[in-house]
Amino acid sequence: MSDYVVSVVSNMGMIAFIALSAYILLVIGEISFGQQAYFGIGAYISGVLTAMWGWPLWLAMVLGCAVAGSAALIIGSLTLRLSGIYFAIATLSFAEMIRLGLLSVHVQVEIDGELVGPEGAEGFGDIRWIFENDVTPFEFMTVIYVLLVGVLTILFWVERSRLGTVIRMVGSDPLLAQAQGIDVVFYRLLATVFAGIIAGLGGSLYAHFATYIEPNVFNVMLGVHSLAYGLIGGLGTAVGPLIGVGLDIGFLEGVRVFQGYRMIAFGGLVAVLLIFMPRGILDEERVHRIKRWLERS
Amino acid sequence: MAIERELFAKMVDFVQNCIDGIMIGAAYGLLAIGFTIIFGVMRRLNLSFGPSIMLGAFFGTWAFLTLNAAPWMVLAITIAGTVITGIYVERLCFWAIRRDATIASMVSSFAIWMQLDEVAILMLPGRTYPFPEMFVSGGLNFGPFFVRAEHLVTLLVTILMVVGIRLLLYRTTFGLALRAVSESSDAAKYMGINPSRITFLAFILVSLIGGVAGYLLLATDQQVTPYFGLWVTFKGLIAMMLGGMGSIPGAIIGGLVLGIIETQTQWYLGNAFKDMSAYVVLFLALVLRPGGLLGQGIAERQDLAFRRV
Amino acid sequence: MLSLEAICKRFGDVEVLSGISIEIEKGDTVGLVGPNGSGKTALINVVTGMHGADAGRVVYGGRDITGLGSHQISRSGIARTFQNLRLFPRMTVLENVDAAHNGLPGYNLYQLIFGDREVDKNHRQKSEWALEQVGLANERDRLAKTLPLPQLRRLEIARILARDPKLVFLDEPAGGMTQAETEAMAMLIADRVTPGRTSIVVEHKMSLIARVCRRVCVLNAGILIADEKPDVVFNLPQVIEAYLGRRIVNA
Repeated sequence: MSDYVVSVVSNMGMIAFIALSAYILLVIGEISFGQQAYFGIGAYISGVLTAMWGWPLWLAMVLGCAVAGSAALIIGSLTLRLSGIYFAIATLSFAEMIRLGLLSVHVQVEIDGELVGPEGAEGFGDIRWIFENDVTPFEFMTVIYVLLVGVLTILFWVERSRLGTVIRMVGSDPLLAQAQGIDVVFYRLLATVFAGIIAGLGGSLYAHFATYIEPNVFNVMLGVHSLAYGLIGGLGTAVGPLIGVGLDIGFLEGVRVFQGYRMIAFGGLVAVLLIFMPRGILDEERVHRIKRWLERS
Repeated sequence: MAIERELFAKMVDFVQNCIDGIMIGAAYGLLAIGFTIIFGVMRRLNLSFGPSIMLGAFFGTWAFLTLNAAPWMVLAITIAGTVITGIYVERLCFWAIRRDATIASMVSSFAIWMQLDEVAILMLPGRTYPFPEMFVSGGLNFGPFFVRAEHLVTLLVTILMVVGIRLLLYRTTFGLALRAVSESSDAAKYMGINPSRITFLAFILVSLIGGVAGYLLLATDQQVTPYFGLWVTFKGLIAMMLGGMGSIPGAIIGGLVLGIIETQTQWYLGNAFKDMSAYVVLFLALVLRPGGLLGQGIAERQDLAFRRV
Repeated sequence: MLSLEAICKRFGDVEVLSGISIEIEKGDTVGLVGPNGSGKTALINVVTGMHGADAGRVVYGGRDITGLGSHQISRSGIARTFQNLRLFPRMTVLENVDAAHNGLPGYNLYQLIFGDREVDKNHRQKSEWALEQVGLANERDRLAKTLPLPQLRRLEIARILARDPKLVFLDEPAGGMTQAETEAMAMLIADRVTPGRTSIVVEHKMSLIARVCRRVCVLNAGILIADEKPDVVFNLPQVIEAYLGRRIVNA
């Protein structure tokens, strides 16, 4: 594989994490414009830990996810009463607060005669873990996909379990779920925290793949894109967001002949697709039909 | 005496900031009205509102650069461009998509946003373009205070437009139909009102408002970039949420509050906190008072809150 | 079994329930009737915890359940149907019924994630049995949103049977149904729902009330104006007045 292909495929893998994170919130019935915040938190925390404090990558990633998950728990609890557009804008405000906050974080230490650390808008470079440990881009891509498969396995497991049904109950009609004995608040927080952790995981991978991050990477556009991936692929299964990511990054990179008109073509394609498939390609009904077809044959 | 003079100077600064904030906030208020009308009529979010205005402005600036169009022509082209783009967005993202598929409409309007961005970049490659200044320039001094002429025009036009919108909504059949659809689109249908026609007309109205607001903002700054779309969408949304959805006075107050918060924090805390403060206030407002500063009644507020976007 | 003590509820300036007190014996079937807007659904919403009460107490099985969340109340063995039908439209018929088990106190998070073969199998059988009881066994793999209204109301009944609650609220179980469908529903309720349970039925169709209830409470403008046997209640002057001359179908 050429370096270019490795970097595109790695990018797809890392964006898949945040798309899955947005998808989980869509399934629980909420629109979040702010999943990029957890992605950014994961990236910054794990980047600081490896580059500045010399922690091993796995431990830095665990802590990055933990902080992202805790942030999701706090924001989730504060926004419990909100729904619909109110929830969407509250998450947007939170994410922008994080991004703008990172713009004014200046913490640097001297390592081997060089200053390392977040430097506000100048970004945070020299996250050199993969160079120091002689990890090739291909190997790192493998790590990304092993983790992605791990997350997907959990999601598939949950979707087949009764917990998956509970989550869909809460997403479809929280009032009815509550009237049937489901503790809606608990499951909503559970899903929110899990979504935060997944986004944090993607972010911590991203920091070490890119070796350079800056607050503006984690802007609203990243969040809205991941939301769009979740919906385009379909709300019926966790494969959906992957299809969305594949379509956007894969397809767009694939047809470079459209250079200059790519977004016109792609935007139109998505708009037309949503007219005919308002809950995405693999929505609940199509997933239901596919399942029945599989059972029969 | 020295202390008194210092205090006086501080007071002057504070009041001057408020004046500037009100001037810019007036334009925010217009943008928020655009969002609130569309959300009221459709219960769906049009993320492409800002990018439509941005594209309209790019048409205007293109005419200015290549045809050397006069300011009033630029204004007319900006408004016309915004309306045409608005109609395109309405047909593709809202009219064509089932009414209950609210998330699909929102994501679709986002996809079209990407399209509009690229059209703008194709039309005028590069990032920043000059936008022609208004018919007027300079400023006026009121005692120790200074007001830019552009700001004064913005404020006057905003007041005129708000009065106009108010009259349109409460004195015409179209306004009555629009309010009926906002209350309940089903009930309106049984009364013989065609909701999709009203939505279409509302889009044109909102695009007109947006085109004017966009022109005022850009002619004050005298430059335009493709990022203007993002900026407009989020300023408008924030102002709408601050004031409370579904109320025209709320939208204006939200806009003014946002403008004043921005200018005050920029003055006292520096540029870095200008945007931050708006988000902090908005987040706290949503968490502590979900209905906004001037929201609707409790029942309607809950109804809006529980409706999925 | 269930006693409502001076329940008050207001929405803004409107008092929808003004001091309702009703005592319901175990195993009884009580009809709850009244003109539109008299507070019947509001009363159910207060008892099942969907709305908080402004004053008064709800005591169920000797325990004060006022102010508990609706999920906690549901877990204590109270179930309800909805006037304007609430179902999970994108789940199949069987999944809709089976989903009702997920909120039972028997499940903890571990069991929800990893499954418990015994419990799951038991619940699955109960769901299928419940569908048979209401005559929807053949529709089990259809998506719920594709069913016609009478079958959706039956699905709500199946959901209750599967959970086997001790106390049931039926909110207009025959709403929007034809005469024949209403009779079939009355039969279903009398045969399958009310035996062995305490039930409260809200309904405008008096034929159904007369068929299944032994006692009828009449609400008007948030006040309990009558509490009698079905054959007596509709001849009471205050009830006739409440309906303002509206002819009462007395079966």
